[in-house]
Amino acid sequence: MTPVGLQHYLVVSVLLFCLGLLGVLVRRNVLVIYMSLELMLNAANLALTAFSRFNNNLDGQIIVFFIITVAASEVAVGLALIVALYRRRHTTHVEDMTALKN
Amino acid sequence: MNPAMLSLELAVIGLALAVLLIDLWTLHEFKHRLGYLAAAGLLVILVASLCCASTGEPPATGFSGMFVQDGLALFFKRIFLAAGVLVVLMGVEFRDRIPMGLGEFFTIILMELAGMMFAASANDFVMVYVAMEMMSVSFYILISFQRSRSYSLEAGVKYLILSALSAGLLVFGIALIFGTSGRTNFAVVAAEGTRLAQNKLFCLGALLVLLGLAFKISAVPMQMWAPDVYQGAPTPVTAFLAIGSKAAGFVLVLRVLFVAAPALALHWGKLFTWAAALTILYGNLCAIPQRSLKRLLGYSSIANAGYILLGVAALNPPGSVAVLYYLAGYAFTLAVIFIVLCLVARDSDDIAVLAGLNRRSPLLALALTLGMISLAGIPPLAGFFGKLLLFKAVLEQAAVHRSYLWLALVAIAGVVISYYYYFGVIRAVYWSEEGPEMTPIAVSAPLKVSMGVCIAAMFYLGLCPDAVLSAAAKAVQALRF
Amino acid sequence: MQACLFYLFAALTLLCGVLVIANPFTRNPVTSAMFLVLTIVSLAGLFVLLHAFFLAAVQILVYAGAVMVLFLFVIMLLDLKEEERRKIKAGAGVLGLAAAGGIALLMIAVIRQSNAGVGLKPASAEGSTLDLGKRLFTDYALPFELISLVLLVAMIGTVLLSKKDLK
Repeated sequence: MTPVGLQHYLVVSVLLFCLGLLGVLVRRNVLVIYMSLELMLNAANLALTAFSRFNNNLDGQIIVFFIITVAASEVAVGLALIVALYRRRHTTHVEDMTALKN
Repeated sequence: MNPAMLSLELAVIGLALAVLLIDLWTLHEFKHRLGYLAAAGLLVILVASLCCASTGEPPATGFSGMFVQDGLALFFKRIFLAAGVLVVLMGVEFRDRIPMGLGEFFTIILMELAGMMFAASANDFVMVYVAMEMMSVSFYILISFQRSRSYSLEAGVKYLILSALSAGLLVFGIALIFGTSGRTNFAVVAAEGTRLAQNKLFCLGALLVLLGLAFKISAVPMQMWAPDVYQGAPTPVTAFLAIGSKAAGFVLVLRVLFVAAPALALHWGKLFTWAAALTILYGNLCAIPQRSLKRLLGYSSIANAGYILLGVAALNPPGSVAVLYYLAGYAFTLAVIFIVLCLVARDSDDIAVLAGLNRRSPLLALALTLGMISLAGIPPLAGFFGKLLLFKAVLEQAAVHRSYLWLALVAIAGVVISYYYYFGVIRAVYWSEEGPEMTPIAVSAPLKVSMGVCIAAMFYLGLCPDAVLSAAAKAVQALRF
Repeated sequence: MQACLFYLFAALTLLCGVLVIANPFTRNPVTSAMFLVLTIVSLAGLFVLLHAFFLAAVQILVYAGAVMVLFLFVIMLLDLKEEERRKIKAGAGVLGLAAAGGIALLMIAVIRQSNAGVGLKPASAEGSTLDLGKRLFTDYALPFELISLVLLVAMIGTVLLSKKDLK
């Protein structure tokens, strides 16, 4: 078995990132889309931590901190917004969000 | 570490917190005065930045190189502050359509403004991310502020999803840049620029970062949110998105390209010419059939992002000077148009509400006409001179690379197409059947003054551009080409 | 041993990631959220392998603990029955799969070509609380303070967006 190196971690991170992207592209429920976006952020966190370890530079882990904190605040606002929309429209489907058209 | 560098930002944040606190002891019917307080405060900060704040010469960096105060940052901060004053005044006019939380509305506008000012001074990818998120989170709230209108909420959710997607791309790009360069500071990354430009992983990271920023400036391929969100958001917020968010996106694009990765920018001229050409064509062609004024301005905003990208794609100092000049003129032009929309388009923003505007209020009709003329790029207003500068920069580059010629042709075609829909608006004001609503429109004194200032600024920028041009020329000394 | 753990956690992360976006058994968002929790926990395992101990703890406490509970709470609140009846359109699914797959292949090719990390050994950097804290309050003091403003804005916004009647 080859020793696990930076590339292994990066490949996992890229695959996770593209999984998130796929979720954003194909799922139609706003909540699941939002979870897919969290997958993308987590992929970036993994890449940053791996780079941090292999470059011997802790700055990457600090950036992960910032990402986690900002993601938490973003989720709080985003979910409040989704709940507010659900109260008015009774839907969380992007296909039902067609009021803004010509 | 030098906290005095942050004086402008700290003043804005302090003002925001003061408004939030005073709101607690303000009776409901007096809450709009908080808006006047915020506008007055911002005006004082703007004047202070013009006379006594440091000129940004020589550029000063602080906070471990995170923050830079130079001519470029100050130029944009003044645009943001001026836009902030106008947006807050629009918010006061808009108060009857904001059912609750007027004090918080002004607070979040001020916080948003602080985020934009930090973006203008960002000198590190971490600061880029944090400032962008500060802007995004504030905009989620501002866009969906009219909770009782489902348009507003729908626009908020659309902005939320696409903004979070662009943040995901940005963060992954920053991760790759950090991994390949070992640092996130612009100066350190630039110092290793030539080596990194060979590294495909670094290029991929820079590309992802630029895609994330393309969202803020609403350029192809991240432009699809603009029309929907512009239409659904409360009008003052739409104005702030069009003026502030776009300018903040462009200052970050300029910094990332010409401060952090000048070696890379040289290879990417083609990428930017394509982005500019597609953005111009998309915005102008889709704007033609629009009936909703705010939606029309959404597409026009995409088209304008394309024009401004011409200056970036030119990859030369005149191009960047033109970007700065154009954004200054664009801010005043859009401010005047959105003030008119705040007053006129109350229940619907269909183009039919403009019918008979010249009899309901000749002042508003004139202001809207001048705004549209400036957007269309007809002399002698600011929009004309800005476009002229952008075209000149591109043609200068065309002398070196022939491929820039067709870019200039596409841009001129775009301008010609845009005449159609801009004059459609003017026609609706002067030559249309009388509308159902013919009562005169009362304009409050602060808005009259701000419209006067904007119109004066449009003429001033168009007729004697020298002062602003020399300021812009000083500002772009921070960039390397 | 380390390699075995890496492959175990990596496989778990990706498998649960797939189940978040495309679960063949149920379309209920609650299962998506639960699998996202598992993804996050397995990522915390990878963080431990990378010697980022404090981050691993934060990942579980904040992400799995706070953020995902918020998600689950909202899903339960909204009572999404209708979700299960809608199908993913086959055309959109195939297109999305092709796009995401293409981007993944491209990115992996770039990683291979650029020889990222070839010759780099895992270094001595340990994500201990002391080292991270020192950096956070010196070099990164400005963004750290800015984050506090983001949190304040988010707090105001959440109250405004969800409160019933505000005067």
